[in-house]
Amino acid sequence: MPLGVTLAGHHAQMKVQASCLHLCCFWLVCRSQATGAGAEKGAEGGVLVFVLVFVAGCRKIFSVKIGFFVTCLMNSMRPSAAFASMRLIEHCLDAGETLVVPSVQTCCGQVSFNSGDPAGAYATALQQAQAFSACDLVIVPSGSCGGMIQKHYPTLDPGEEPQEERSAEQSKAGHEASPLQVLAGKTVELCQFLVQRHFDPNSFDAEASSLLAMPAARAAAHEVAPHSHDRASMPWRVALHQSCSSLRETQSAQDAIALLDRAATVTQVPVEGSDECCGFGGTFCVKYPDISASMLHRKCETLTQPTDGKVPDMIVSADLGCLLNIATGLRHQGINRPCYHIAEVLAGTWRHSPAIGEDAPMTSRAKHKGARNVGTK
Amino acid sequence: MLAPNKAGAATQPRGKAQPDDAPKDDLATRMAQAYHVGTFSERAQAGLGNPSRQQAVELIRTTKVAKRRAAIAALGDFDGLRTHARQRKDHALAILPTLLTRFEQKFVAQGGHVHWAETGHEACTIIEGICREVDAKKVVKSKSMITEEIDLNAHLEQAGIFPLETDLGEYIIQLRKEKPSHIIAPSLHVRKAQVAELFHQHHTDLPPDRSLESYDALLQESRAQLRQGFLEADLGITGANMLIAETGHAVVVTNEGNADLSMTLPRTHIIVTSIDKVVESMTDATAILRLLARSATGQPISAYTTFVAPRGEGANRSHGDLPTAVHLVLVDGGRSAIYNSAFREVLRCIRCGACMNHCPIYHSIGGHAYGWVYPGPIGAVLTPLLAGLGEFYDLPHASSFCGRCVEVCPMDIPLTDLMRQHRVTAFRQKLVRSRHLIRGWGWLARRAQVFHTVHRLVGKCAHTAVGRVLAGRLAKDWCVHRTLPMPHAKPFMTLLAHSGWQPSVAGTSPAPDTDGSSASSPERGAGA
Repeated sequence: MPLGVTLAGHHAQMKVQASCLHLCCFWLVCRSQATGAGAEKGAEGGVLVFVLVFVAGCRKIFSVKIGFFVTCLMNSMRPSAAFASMRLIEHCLDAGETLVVPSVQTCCGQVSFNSGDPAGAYATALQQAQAFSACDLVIVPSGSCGGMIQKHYPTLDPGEEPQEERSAEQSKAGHEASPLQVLAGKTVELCQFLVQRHFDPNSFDAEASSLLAMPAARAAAHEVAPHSHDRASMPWRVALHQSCSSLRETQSAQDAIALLDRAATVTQVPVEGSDECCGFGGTFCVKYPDISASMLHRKCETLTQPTDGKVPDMIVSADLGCLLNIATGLRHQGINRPCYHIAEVLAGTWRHSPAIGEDAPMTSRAKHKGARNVGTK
Repeated sequence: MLAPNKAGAATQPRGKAQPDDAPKDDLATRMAQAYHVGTFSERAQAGLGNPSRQQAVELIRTTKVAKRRAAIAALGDFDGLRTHARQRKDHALAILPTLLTRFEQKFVAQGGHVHWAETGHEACTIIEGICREVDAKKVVKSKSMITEEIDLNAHLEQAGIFPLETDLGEYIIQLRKEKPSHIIAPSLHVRKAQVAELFHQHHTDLPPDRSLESYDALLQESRAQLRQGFLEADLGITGANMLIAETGHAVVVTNEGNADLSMTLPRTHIIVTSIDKVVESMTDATAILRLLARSATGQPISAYTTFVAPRGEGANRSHGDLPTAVHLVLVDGGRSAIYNSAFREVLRCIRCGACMNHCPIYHSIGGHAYGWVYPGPIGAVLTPLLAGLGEFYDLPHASSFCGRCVEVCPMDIPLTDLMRQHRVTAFRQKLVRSRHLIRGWGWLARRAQVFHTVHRLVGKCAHTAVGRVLAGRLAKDWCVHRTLPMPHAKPFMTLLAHSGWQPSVAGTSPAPDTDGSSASSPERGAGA
C-alpha cells in the first residue's frame, strides 16, 4: 500500500490524517465496486481483496515505531551489547510495533553539555530529535545517555540568541513542545522498557532471535573464539554496578535489580557503597586521571569483595562507560573478573563473547607506554 | 551604616554577574595564597598520597554517611521537609533586602549594634575597631566559616589581638597553623597521635611525661586549656547559622557548647555572619534546624542550639555574667553579586557539609586540595564565585557529576547544574584547554554521515600497528591506571547495515512473546 509506506516516516499526527484518507479511498472503491460490477459473480472476491488491502494499510499506518539509540560508545566499543539489546527489545515488541535503528543518529551530546558548550549540545540534541522524529518510543541502553535525554534535553536551548528574542519566539510558538522535549518524553532506558514490558529472562531464547542468524551479529562477538564461561556452577554470582545516572537521572537502577532478580542464571550479591561513583564521569577520567583512579580503586574493591566467603563471578552494569572503566581498571590490577553489559546477561549472549576489555590485544604494551609517558611528564 | 542602601543595592538587577565581578579585595587574594600551595593537581596529589588523611576521610565515608542515612530514615518525610525548607529559604532570599532591614530593626530595638560590611577587609576593620573600643586583648572565638573566609584571625593577630579558637577541631588547626579541611570537622585530616604530639609541644606547663593516648585524655586536657581561655577573654566572637527577621535572634549551633561560653562569659559579644543567613520567622528557622544536624552529623538536633538576642543594655542586664554589648557584623563578601547572578540558589546553603561527606572526589583528595575555605561540591560552586574562576578553574571541572551531593543536599541546591554553569563560563572565557576537541566532537555529532565514517575508520585503524601505538599515546592518561579497551573493528552501525536486518512489524509472524521464535522470519535471515 503506497499510501501507508509514504506516510510511515511521518509523525504520529500525520498518521491520523493518513488513516482518514485511507478510509475515504476505501469507501470510494467499495462504492464503485458495488455500483459498477456489483451484479457480477466475482464481486465477492474483489471485496475480499480490498478488505485485505485495507487491513494491511491500517497496519502500516498505525504501526508503532520503537527507535533504538545505540549510543556512540556502544556503537564503537561493544556492538555485541547493542545486538543483545536489540534482541531483547524485539522480543518485547507488541503486535504492530516495529523496531527501527535510524542510521542518522550520532551522540547524545553529553560531552559538549558537560564540557560547557551548551550550544554544541543543543545542536547535537536537535540532530537526535530529528533522527528519532518518526519514533513513538526511543530506547537507550545506557543510564547516562538516557539521563541526558530525559533530564537535560528539555533544559537545552540554542544559548546564543538574546533572552528577549527567545521568549518572544516561545510565546509565538505557544504551548507546542520543542522537538527536544518531545524526544525527552518518549525516551526510556533499556531496563525501564524491559520492566514495563514484563520481560522474563527465563523465557527468552537468544538463539531464536532474527539477529543471531546473521553473520554480522556473530562478528560483533569480536571475531574471537567463544570463551567458555561455564567453569563455575550456575547460577553465576553477579555484582551489579549501579551507575550514578541510572540511580539519579533515569531512576532505572531498581529496574536493573528487578531484571537480574528474575534471571535464573544469575544471583545478585550485595555491593557495599553501591551508590558511589566509579570515577568514570565521561571526560572527567581523562582530565583528572589520578582522582578518577582513586575512586575506581575503591569501586573495584567493593565490587570484588567476597560475600559469604565467595567472590562475585562477574560484574554487570547497565552503563557501558562505567563498565569500560571498571573492566580495564580490574585488568590493570591483574584481577580477572569478567564484566558484561546487562543486556548481554539478560539475553544470554555473554556466553559467546569475551568479556569487556578482555579483547584488548595491546594491553601490556599500552600500559607500559602510558606509564612511562606520564612518569616523564 | 550601609543597611538600607546595601539592601537596596541587592535588588537592583546588575545583569548576569560574571563570577569575576565578585569583589576580590587584597585580603581575598592573600587568603587564596595562604590557603593553597601550588596548583590544584599538586594539591590533589598531596591529598591522594597521604595515607593518614586517607584513613581519616575513610572514616567520614563510612560513618557519617551511615549516620545521616539512619537519621534521615528516622525522620520519615525527608523530601517533604526538604521541599518546605527550600521554599521558605527561597522566599527569604526573594525578599532578602526587606528581611535584612527587618532583622536589623529588631536587633537594634533590643539593644544590639548592627554593622554592615561590604568586603571581608571592611568586616575585619570593624571587628578590630570594636576590640579596640573595649580594649580587648584576648578574644575567644567559636567556629565560624565566615571568619575563615575573611581571614579574621590573621587580621586580629596583626593588630596585636590574640584570638583563641575554642572549637576543639579549630583549636587543633590553630595550633598546627593550618586551615580547616572540612566545614564542620575542621581537623578531620589530623590523627589522634598527631594531636597528642601537638599537645605535648604546646602545653608546656603540663608534665611532659603525661599520657595522651586516649581520646578522653586529649579531651580533658584541651577542655582545661580552653576553660582558662574563656575566663581570661575580654571579648567573644561567634558566627551565626541563621538570623531570624521576625524576632531579631541569631541562631548558633554547636556540639561543644563553646559558642555559648564565648557569648556569655566575656563582656562583649560579636556575631559575625553573612547576609544570606536571614530567614523570615522562627518556624522557618526550626524547619531548617530539623534538617541541619541530621544532614551534618546524623543527630536529630545538635547538642547546643542557642537563640541569641541582645535583650537590652544596662538595666536589663542585671546578671553580671552576661555581655554588656552585643554587636552583629553582617558581611556581604561578594554575596550580592551571587544574588544577582544565575547562582542565587547556592545562597540557600546552610553549611551542613553533607555534600562533602558524600562526595567521592572529596573522599579522594581531601579538603585542602580545594585550596580555599569551602571544600567539596559546595566549594566547587562557591569558591570560583568568591575567589575567581580563573584561579579556581579546576574545582567545578574536577567532578564526575555523580549527583550524590545533590541527592543529599538538605536545601536542594542543584550543585552539579551550578558547576556546569561554571564550566559554561569557563568555556566562553576560553579557559577550557580542550575546547577545540569539544567543538570538533560537537561538529562531528551533527553530521551523521561523517560521524559514522570516522567511527568506521577509527575501528579499522585501531587494529593496525600504527593505530595501536597512536591509541596508546592518545589515551596515556587513561592507561596509567587501566588497560586500554580497543574499539571493535567494525562499529555496530556498520555491522547492522551489512547484516541485511530490516525493520519489520512485530506480530506479522506468530506472536513474539510466546516463545521468542517468531522474530526469526526466514526472509530476514536470508538477507544476511
